[in-house]
Amino acid sequence: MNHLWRKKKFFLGGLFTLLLFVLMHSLIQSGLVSRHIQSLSVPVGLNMILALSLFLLVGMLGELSLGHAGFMSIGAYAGGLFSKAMVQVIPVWIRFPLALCVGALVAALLALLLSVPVFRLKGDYLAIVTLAFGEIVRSLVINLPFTGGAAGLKGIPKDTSFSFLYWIVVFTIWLTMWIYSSKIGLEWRAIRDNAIAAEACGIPVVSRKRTAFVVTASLAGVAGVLYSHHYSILTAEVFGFNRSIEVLVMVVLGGLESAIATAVSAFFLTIAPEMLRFLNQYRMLIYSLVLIIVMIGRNTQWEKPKWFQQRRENA
Amino acid sequence: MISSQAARREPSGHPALEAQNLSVSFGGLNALQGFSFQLGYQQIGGLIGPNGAGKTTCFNLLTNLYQPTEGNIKLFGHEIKGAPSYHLFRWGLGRTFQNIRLFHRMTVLENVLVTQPNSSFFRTNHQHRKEALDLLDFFHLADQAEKKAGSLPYGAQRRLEIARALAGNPGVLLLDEPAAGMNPSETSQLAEQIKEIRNRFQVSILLIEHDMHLVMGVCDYLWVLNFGHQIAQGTPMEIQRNPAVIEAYLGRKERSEC
Repeated sequence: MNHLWRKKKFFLGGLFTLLLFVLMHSLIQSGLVSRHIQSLSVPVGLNMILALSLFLLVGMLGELSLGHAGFMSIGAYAGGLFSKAMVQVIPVWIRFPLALCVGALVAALLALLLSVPVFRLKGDYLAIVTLAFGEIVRSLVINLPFTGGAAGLKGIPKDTSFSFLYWIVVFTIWLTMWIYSSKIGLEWRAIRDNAIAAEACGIPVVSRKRTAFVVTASLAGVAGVLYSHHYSILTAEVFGFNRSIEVLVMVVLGGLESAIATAVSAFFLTIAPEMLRFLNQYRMLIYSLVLIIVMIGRNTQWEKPKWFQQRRENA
Repeated sequence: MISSQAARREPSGHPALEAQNLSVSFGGLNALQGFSFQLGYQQIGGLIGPNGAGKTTCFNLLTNLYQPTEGNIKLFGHEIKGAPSYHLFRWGLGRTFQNIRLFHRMTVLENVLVTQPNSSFFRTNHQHRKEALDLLDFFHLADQAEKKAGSLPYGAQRRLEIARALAGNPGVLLLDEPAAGMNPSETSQLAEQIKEIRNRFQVSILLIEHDMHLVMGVCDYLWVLNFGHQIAQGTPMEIQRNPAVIEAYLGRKERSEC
C-alpha cells in the first residue's frame, strides 16, 4: 500500500502548489498585496533555494560548508554577464533559462574543480577550505576587470518574475525531496552516518561526496542567477561570509532531516526580521532571542500527534 | 573481475576466500605474520584467539581497510589486493563490525535498501522494498522497518548489521564478534540463525567470536591466532584437544606445581 500512499501524497502536493500559485499570483495582480510584502517574496524564495541546496550537503551528506555564498556569487555573475552580453541577441524567454543554465554550470564546474582537493579533508578542515573559497571568490570579483569591481555590475536585464521564482522554488523542493528518498540520497545519508561502514557496504564515498558538492553548488548558482536578474545590480559584498552563515542557520534550524522543514525554516527566518521591524533598535536582539528559543525547542523531543501516526499506519 | 552474481553461487573449484602468507606490521609491531587459510564454498569458518591476537586486523586486511605488508588474498580465485573497499562489497564480500556501525539516523528499511546492488541509481522501487522487507522478516525486524536504526535494542542492531551485509547478495560474509553483548538465549538463537543464513543465502561465513559455545556449535573449521601467529587449525573437536590452544587461553602449567 505504501506506493499508493506515495502517489496520493504526490498528487495532493502538486494540487496544493498549483492552488497556492494561482492564489498568490492573483493577489499580486489585483494589487491587494502591498509592494513591501511583494518585494519580500524574492528574498524568501532565494533563501529557500539556498537553504535547500545547502541542506543536501549539510543535512544529507553531513559535511559542513561555510562558502555557500561563494557559489551563489559565481552563478549570479556568470548568469548576469551572460544576459548582459546577450540582451540584444536572444529574446527574453530563451535568454533567462539559458542564463540559469550558464549560472548553474559555471558554479558546478568550479565546485568540481574544488572538490578534487577538498575531499581529501574532513570535518572542520573542509569548513575552513570552503570558508577560504568564499573569500577568494569575493576578492576576485572585486578585482577582476569584467565584474565591475567594487562599484558593482550594473545593467543586468530584469528577466525574472514572480512566476519564475515560484516554480523554481517548487522545483528545488521537489528535487530535494526526491533525492532524499532516492538511491543516491540513501547513499549520502549512509556516508553521513558512518563513512567506514558505507565504504564497506559498496558505496564509493569520495565520488559520492563530489557529486553532492557539485549538485549543491549548481543549485546555489541558480539562486544567484535569480538574484542578479531581479535586482539587476550586483556587488561582491552581497555574497559575503554573513550570507553563508545565514543560510547555514536556516538549514540547522530546519533540523537537518527534512526538505520541507528546511524550506519552512528558511521562510520564517527570512520574514522574521521584517515582522520584528516595529521593535526598532531592539530588532536584532529579539531576533537572536527568538532564534535561541526556537533552537532549544527544536532539540526537545516532541511526540508526533496521534492522528498523524494513525494515518501512517492506515496507509 | 568477478562478473556475475551467479558465478558466486557455483562451486568453481576455487575456495570462496583464501589468504596466503598474510602479514602486516604497524611500526615495529607484527600484528599478523604469515597467516594462511582457505575458506571453502559454503563453509562456516571461525577465527579465534585471545584479545590482541590479530583477528580483527585480519578482517581489516581482508576488506582492504589496511594494506598488507606481505601476502595475497583471493576471493573466488581472484586476487583482490589493492582494490578499494567498496569494490569488494560489490564483488561479494560483506562484513559486519565489532563495534556496531549502522547508519543510525536512517530507518531500518533504508539501512537495507542502501546496500542492494540491483536498485537503480536514482530510485528504490516497490520490488526492492519488498525484497528488503522479506530480508528483514528473516531477521525478525520487519515490524520495526520504519524505526530509526539507532533506536533499536542492541541485539536487533547486530542482526540488522548482518541483514545489511546480506542485502548486497554476498558470496562471503565476515562476522566480527556477532554475539558480543548478547545474553545466552540470544546467542543460541544467533547460532541457529548463522547456520540458516548459510543454507538460505548460500554464503560462506568467516566469523570472529569469543563465545566458545557458539564457535564450537556453529563452525566447520577453526583457525587459532595468538600474538599474530597461527598456532593451530582444525575442526572444533581437534582444536578443543590441542595443547597449544589450551596454553594460549589458560596459560602454561608451571612445572613446580606438578
